[in-house]
Amino acid sequence: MIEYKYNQGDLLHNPQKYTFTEFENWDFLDAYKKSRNISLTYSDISLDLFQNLFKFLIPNINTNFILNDEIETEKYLKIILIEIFQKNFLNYNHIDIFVKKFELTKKLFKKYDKKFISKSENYSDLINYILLSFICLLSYKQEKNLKYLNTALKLNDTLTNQISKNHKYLIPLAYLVKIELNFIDELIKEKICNYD
Amino acid sequence: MIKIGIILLENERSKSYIQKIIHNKIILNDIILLSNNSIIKKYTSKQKILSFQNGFQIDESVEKTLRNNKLNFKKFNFSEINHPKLIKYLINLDSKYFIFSGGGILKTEILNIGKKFLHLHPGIVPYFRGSTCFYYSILKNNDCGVTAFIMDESLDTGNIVLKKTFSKPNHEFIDEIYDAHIRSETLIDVLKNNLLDKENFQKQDNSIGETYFIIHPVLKHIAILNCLD
Repeated sequence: MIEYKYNQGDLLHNPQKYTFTEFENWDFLDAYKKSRNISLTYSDISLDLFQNLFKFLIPNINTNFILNDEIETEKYLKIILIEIFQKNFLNYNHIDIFVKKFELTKKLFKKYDKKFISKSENYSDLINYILLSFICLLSYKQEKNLKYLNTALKLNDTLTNQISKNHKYLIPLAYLVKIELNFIDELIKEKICNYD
Repeated sequence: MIKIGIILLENERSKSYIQKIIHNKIILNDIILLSNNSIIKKYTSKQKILSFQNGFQIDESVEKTLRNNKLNFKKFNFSEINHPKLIKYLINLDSKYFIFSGGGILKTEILNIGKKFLHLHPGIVPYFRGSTCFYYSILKNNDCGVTAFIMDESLDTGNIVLKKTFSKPNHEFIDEIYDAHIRSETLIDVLKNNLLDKENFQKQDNSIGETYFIIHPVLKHIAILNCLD
């Protein structure tokens, strides 16, 4: 029985590099799925995963999200999400900046300057990782570009590592993981014939 | 004939490059080995057989290959491509082109010494730039590709020498064997057809394409299981 090791350890401070990862056959995919089993006591994970997660993350859409010279990551990511849900517009130029930021450092800082250089020491706000994961999953849903599913998997490794039972973000994490697992199952069925 | 050199490391890619160059009787002007005497990697018998079937011996070190074939080479006891000692050495060599086989991202200083560096990138650009592209290519296109290009300061955006598409592998040793195999086959095509002499390179359209980041193990497993299917 193998163990899924990519969401273990303190990933915020000692991130995974994912280089030359070992091939462990179907056992690995089974271990991965088990590791994504969120021990959720709530039964209210609705079938409309995307819409409900959006409502959970941005309950009041009329909140004033004015941008200033300093980029506040949470605010910025919420604007990207609102654009997706209100205008069906995915601003890939902006999404890709955050994808690259996360992929290179595995960190999302609280604030950036106009050139997207970090202006804060704080990279522990899990809401930023949740928002980017959701944006990546929505981007994958729209374009089927594996780059976004790849980043979502890594973000969700960090989130499943950091969010435990009774955490305030357990519900959004449960949504993210459910969406991610649906996409992975779809991909397995599409790409591997002998899947049962 | 244009003068070509190679910068080798003790890795699978370099092993396949130099062994196939020797096998094809291609003469290089300069051979450089960057070796920091790191731990010697062990390979399984399956890996040894597969690498042999793909035209190279994975368990023979680069240094041993060079010595067995009585080839002159300069050895440095470091593996960083941007090392000042290497830069100083390269400047004084006659070779115009150097085949790059790893050791980091080329920085401005080495790119400005008047030499050109040929990279064999395991993806068809501009659609597959960045890291671990062969896995993304298997999942997206059900095949793989290599682009030979002249390196510049940006990531995988240099002028294209040759693009070559390959069938996906039927084994799981993609990082160790398949990657080295498809890159070295493309390199041999470039050298045998004197494509560097002709300098008829194709400029990339940098406004299109996709840059990928290192693949997550879940997607990597799906790609490999697709190959084994």
